[in-house]
Amino acid sequence: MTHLRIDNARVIDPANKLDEQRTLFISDGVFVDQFDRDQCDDDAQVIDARGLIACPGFIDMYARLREPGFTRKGTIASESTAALKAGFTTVFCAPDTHPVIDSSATVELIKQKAVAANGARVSPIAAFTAGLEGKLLSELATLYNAGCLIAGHADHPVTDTGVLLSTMEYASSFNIPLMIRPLDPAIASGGCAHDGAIATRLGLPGIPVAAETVALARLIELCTSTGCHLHISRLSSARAIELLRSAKKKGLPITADVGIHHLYFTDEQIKHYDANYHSAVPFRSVDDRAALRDALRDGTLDAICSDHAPHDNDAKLAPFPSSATGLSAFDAFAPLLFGLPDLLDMPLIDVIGKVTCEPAAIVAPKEVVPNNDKLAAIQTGLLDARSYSLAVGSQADLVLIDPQAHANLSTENMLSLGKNSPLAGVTSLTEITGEDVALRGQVIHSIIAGSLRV
Amino acid sequence: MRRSDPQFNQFRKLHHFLSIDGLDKATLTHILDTAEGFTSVNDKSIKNVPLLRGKTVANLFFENSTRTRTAFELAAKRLSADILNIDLVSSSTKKGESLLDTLRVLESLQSDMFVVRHSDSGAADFIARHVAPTINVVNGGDGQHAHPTQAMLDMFTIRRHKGAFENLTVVIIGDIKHSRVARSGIAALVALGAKEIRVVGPQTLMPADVESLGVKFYRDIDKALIDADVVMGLRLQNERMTSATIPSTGEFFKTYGITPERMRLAKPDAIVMHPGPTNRGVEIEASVADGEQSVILQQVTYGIAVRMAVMSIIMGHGEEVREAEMNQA
Amino acid sequence: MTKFSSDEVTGWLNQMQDQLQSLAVADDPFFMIGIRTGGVDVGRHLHTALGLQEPLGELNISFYRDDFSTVGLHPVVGPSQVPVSVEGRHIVLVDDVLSTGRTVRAAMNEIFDFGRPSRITLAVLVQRAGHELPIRADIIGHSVDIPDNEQVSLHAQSMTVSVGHKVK
Repeated sequence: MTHLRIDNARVIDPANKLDEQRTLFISDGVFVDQFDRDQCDDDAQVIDARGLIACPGFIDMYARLREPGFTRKGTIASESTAALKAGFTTVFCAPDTHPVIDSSATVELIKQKAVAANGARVSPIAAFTAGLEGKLLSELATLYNAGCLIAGHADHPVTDTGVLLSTMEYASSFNIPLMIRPLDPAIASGGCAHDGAIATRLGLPGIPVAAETVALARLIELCTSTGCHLHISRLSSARAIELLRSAKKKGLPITADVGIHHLYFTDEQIKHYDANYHSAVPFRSVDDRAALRDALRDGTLDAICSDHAPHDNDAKLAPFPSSATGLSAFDAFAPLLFGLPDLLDMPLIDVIGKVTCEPAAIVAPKEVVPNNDKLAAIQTGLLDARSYSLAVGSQADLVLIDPQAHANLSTENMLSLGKNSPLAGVTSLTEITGEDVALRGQVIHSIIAGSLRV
Repeated sequence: MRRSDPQFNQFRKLHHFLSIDGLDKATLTHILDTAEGFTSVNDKSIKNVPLLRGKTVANLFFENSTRTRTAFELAAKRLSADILNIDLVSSSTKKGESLLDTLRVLESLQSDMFVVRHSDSGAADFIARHVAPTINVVNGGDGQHAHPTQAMLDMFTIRRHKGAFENLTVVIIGDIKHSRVARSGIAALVALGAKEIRVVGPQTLMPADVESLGVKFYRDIDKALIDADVVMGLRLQNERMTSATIPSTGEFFKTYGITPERMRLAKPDAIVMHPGPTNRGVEIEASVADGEQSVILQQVTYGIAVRMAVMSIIMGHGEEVREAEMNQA
Repeated sequence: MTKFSSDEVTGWLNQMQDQLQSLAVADDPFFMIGIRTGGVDVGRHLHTALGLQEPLGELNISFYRDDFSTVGLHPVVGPSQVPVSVEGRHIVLVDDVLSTGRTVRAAMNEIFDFGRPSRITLAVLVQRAGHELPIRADIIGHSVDIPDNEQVSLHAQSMTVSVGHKVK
């Protein structure tokens, strides 16, 4: 029996709309309301969390851990450790590894490495077509039972609408949610930046908003006819938000997320061809960013993910169009998240909800899949998303955060193998976007299943 | 951390020539005035000046272009510089050597200046940020972004033949979307205070939000040409036909070709320009290209003096940088 | 600061004109070239006074200077205009002030890129101390002996000359 007591924390629990000072008790990996008198404080480890916020550990809907296959850019060990610094106790890892996550063998490999790393929980996203080739279905039910709570397709658009339709029908039979980034590759063709005035001036081939909205409209229609739970991954435009809002109004089973950097950056950031801002989901106009922020406030966007994309240095040392896409997000995530309440005029508890109970609700099993292996999966270190909170009986995944601590990010102190963050060496976002956001908010402790990881 | 314009060195002198963007009217005028000084080089029996004697200029062309490469070569030779022509289209870059590694190898050849042409927009900027501080970089064309020496010779031509920019209506016809010549030309015309800049072409050949560049978009060439002082054609590349952007050269000529009939809509003393090579019967009718209003051949000649001016201006400050380097060492 | 009036300067020009007249040979007339800009100002006066038939040549020596690496391009003064061939000709090279001799060296280098003259005569309005090269004028309007930190300037509008501290 292991006991952990957390004193003096400001406890924020979005699932239970709680924001108050209280003591937290943890025994054997779950929250309890008090310790059994006989086994109390002598055995218990105590953390004095004065000045700190205690909240459920963050869940990252989308991050690239790069292993297996691309270990020059990142490993499960390095990235799941860096994820803890971000406040994540669970990370959903992208299926575009090598091999692709389309077999239970690969799922097992990832699970083992994650357990050995002792960092954040790693929840693999299953690739819903074999090899991510967009032609044949993967063994979705098998993968689900192996521990994949959600299936997706990374940044590889499925062009065959027939395949998309039948995937959604199949997934809906098992109530498996599908995570899809809306992208029409023919319209996006060759583009590397938002198709607006800045790309025009820089001569950069653009990715029109239509590349996102045409694909999204198609997905919404397919969702309407199949009833599949569709999770829209990493939106970027105002027009897409409009489509999403009306789809949700109709009561369709659609959820959506946004990458944290897209709440801050716009195409202004690429004015000097800085490859650190070259992102597969482009940073669009100021109006698009405003729409994303509004959508977060009004609930149209359910979750915030990191879209973490660590790279080796060489990958970014090339002219903008040839540079690799993606930002290393883990090390800057906590201060960026904590900048949102002031920036967006949104209560902190709601912001924290976007990375805790909301993503949990998206991935929590809706009905019991007809197989007992699912319960076994939970015991081997995977997320229990059924009731993601600090309430008694819940899995004790939580973080203690100092909201005032300055980030002081540098390439030397970054934990991710990928140093490609434009925030390295930056103390305030005024330098970058002109908005006065001091980068503050640091994870002091990270607790998973009741055991202190950091 | 905000990036700054790499064209200027720490002494606020123009050290690279990468794009017209970021250069003001005074700087552009200075380049044009300096170019005037170089126009008499041809009158001498020794057709060069010793300004860059002992310096080496390396042409780094990652994209094929005999015309532009030859033009830079000639300008460098007229300045008495030595030339290195490095063929990068077929060599190591195809073998997968990164651009950065290629640069390191080239730096060890001890050139003083790189003239660069590359198919990526932003390549010249990238190279300028990553070369040794004493090397000057001239952008010979980067992707769809910029071709600043072409813009300068176009401006020199306009000033020579039409005088002050403030009175001029300039019309640019064709594929603006994919044209670095157009982008640099427009930036120069805006900085030099041209009265009006019009762009004409089908929507598929216009970039997003084209008017944000400081131009007025016209769908109809007949309306655009009314009272034009300068008519500039642009090269239409073959890829446009195969990528479903325009149907055929025939239809392009019918709708946007520069013909004698259309030229009658412009001012009688309007000049006709084209960066070359011209596609007769596609962008421009042969009789206009060869006609009295055409200054296409003069553009090529002025290009030598203009490039000499650019190279001389940016190269003239090496000592300051070398000293600064030595003081830091 | 010393100032020489336009009368005094005219006196120097007359002296130069006399010396040039005695240089002139009927069947081998010299071709006059002024170095921009001061040499052209002086040259114009001499050219008119002597009634020369051929136009005055004007040299822009910006591209022949020896200080390009340290100082860069000097302010632009328009392209050289040498309307007559120098091949086999007697050239009279005119400048306003001779001090270090580098300007004249640059001018001679440029003249030789136009062709091979038979001889060059150097005529300067003012010669001062401070030679850094073995170049001496053949025809001198006036000599001054001033310290290094002072300079001689011709004011073309008024045709006066002033001597004062060097402006940095």
